[in-house]
Amino acid sequence: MSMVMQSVPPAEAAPSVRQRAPLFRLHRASVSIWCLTLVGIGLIAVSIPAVSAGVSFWFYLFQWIALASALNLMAGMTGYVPFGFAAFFGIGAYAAAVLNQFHHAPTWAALVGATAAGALLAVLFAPTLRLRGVFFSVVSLSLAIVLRSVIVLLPEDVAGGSSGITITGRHDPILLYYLMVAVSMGAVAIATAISVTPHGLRLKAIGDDLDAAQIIGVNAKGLRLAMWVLSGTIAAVCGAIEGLYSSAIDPAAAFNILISTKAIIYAALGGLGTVMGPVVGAVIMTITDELIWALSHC
Amino acid sequence: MSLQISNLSKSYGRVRALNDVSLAVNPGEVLGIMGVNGAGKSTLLNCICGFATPDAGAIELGGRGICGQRPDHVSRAGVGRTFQVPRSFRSLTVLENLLVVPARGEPSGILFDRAHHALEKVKLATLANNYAGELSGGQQKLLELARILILEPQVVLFDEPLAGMHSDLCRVSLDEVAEMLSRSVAVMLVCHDPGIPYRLACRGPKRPGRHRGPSGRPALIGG
Amino acid sequence: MPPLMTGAIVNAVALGILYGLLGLSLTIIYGAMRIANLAHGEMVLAGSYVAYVVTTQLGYSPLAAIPVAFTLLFLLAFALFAVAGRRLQTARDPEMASFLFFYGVSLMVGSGLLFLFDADARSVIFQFQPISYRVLGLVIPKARAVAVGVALVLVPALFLFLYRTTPGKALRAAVMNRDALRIVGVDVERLSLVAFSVSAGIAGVTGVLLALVFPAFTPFSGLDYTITGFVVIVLGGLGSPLGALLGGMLFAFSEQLTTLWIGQSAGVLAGFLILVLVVAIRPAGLIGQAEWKS
Ligand SMILES: Nc1ncnc2c1ncn2[C@@H]1O[C@H](COP(=O)(O)OP(=O)(O)O)[C@@H](O)[C@H]1O
Ligand SMILES: [Mg+2]
Repeated sequence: MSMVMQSVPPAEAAPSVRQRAPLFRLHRASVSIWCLTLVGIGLIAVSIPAVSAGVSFWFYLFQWIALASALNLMAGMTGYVPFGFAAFFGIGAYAAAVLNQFHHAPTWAALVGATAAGALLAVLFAPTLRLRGVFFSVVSLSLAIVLRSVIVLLPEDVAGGSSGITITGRHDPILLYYLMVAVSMGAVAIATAISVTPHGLRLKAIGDDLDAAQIIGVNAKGLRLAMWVLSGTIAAVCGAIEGLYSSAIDPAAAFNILISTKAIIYAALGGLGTVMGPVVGAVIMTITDELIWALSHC
Repeated sequence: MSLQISNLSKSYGRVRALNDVSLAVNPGEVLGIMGVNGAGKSTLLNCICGFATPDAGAIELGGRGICGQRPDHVSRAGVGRTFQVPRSFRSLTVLENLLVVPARGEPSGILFDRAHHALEKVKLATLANNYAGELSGGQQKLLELARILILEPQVVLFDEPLAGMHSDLCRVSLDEVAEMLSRSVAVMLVCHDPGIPYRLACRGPKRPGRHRGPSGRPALIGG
Repeated sequence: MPPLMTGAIVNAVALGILYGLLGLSLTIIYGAMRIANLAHGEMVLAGSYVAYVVTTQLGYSPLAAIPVAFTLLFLLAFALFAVAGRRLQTARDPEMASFLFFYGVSLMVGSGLLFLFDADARSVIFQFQPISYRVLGLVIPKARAVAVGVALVLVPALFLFLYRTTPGKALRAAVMNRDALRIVGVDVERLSLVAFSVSAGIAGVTGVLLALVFPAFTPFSGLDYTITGFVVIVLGGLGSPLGALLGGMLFAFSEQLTTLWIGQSAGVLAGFLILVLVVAIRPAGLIGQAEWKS
């Protein structure tokens, strides 16, 4: 390097100023292509029951797309990795099961109740957002374990105790499948909407430097809380639909930490913080799972 | 808007970083803050911005108390600041660093144009699409300045804006500060050269109805 | 004091020191390398299986399993670090990258153990002479006494190393600022390599000791150990060796005493509730640095 430093680059070198604001990184064309892809996936999903014997594989495929996308809203976009993500899935499953089995609520009411329970739990756990990194992850995991233990300790006629709840009412699996498709498409649509608005940039900024983001007026706490509630609520709805679909809910399965880690792994495999990543990751891993299972049983 | 600080005190453990500090900056005025390293200059700015909660005293912005408010609230109330060690969003591009500011209801196209304009002013236009993480320390200071230009705050706090900067770029920064002063922005400037606030004060254009341009004075802080 | 109470306290002290040891190796890895070792529980578990092979299958004393477990896990960690250490540390988000990498490692070690030893619960079968000691009217199994004895030697040795020797101090400094440590001439890469390998070795030894205290283990027990380890170090304060020991004690005491007073299921709950409470009051843990809260 020469010792005589040239100073400021000449101003003529400035690039031409683009006239239209871009959709932040993503070009309008690629966003359109992505939206069309989503519509395509949705159409395929809707026609599955007509052409396929069973929907089970597809049901769980869309469940994992939804869970990985929901987790990504938090882990990918804010950098907070909730090991205790399973708590939302579990509370959703339990809320739906308790309402449906013990209080004879219709399906729609059970789902609404589960949604509310998920949102409520997210608000209740919101103080953990003061923590960071591994602290946050481990405390959220502990809360999931505490929640599971509390449910086990509750009287059997309130939450089924340690043996869980068996739902005896019939629920149309095809309808539940459609609901799961809707939830997963909704989750992906929400992620898309966030990343094409400045909120996506703001979330990245918060992840880079919290203080600097706040000093330019970004409401970091509010934005993070919003993502947390969204993420938790989607997971709770997934839990509720899955609970009704499988009609057997027990504490070990509903609060299984594998739900957290799988969602994290799937989202990370495709790319945390991206919209497409969790979808791709969930599809690849669910298919791989299915293949391994099929191979080991033939 | 003027910034009024009265009897501010702040201790970290047994270190008394601020001891009964009172000062005020009015629109169009530049106030230089000087003191040895560790005198509490950055702490003063941190208290104003809401990063630190003072133990005692009051901070008023345009007559309204802002003491103990969250940093983003203080920012929205019209206070901008730069950091002693510059802080940018490293995984965003230089341009995006300016586009993240909260919307003020203007169309995004206008924000976009203003961002480009600000980058040109601080000579970073050629780097608009580079990641901020790739910038040098001095360039990041310029980016922080551009951020201030975008936000258009009424009160600006600069924490050693010239430390480690090339003299040409110092002039760029000082020109921008002078321009802000002419728009009746109140400026608080931490620096180690008492000449700078005076020079800024003298450079400001004369405004009608007043004898002098912006007034400037250094305040000493700490022991 | 009623004998049940005394028993619970003795149990808690014994478990506490083992939990502390579990946290100690985990916190050294986390502190020195900013790596969340999600495979820690599986490393501990591998140590337990070494104890199983050496005692139940080969008939030697569990004490003989200690050097074997140490060496085996030292070598495993050495190889892991040689393959991935640098990449993980220079990744854009080291915490996330290491989290995923070690999650993969934990799956591999877990399924490896499942392949080798089946899913059935295993336990260390070895007759100590005498089988138990009688102290102050309490019957203390010798296996437990041996485990605690070894931990009581290992923990002070680790503390001497961390607080009195130069590499130990460098390791603690690495918790605070890696770059500054580089600038003063410490080979941080080699330090990390040694720290990681030794910690894994200690994790293996912890596994041997836990196998003496807990009745049985399966290839799926690793996750529980990992969770306990992280809870312990978060409770005590991330990166603080003393905190790990305190956290281990607190966790064990809350677990044992609640089990005594209320019941088994409440015991598990209590440990985690204590964690949530402590972190709510002191976000950085009992004696952690404040930099970890937002
Ligand atoms: N977050 C903090 N925690 C503890 N001590 C602090 C903190 N911030 C500043 N201090 C102390 O307060 C004093 C003033 O620091 P500062 O305001 O940064 O000085 P300067 O005038 O050089 O900007 C110093 O002694 C510093 O050690
Ligand atoms: Mg300073």
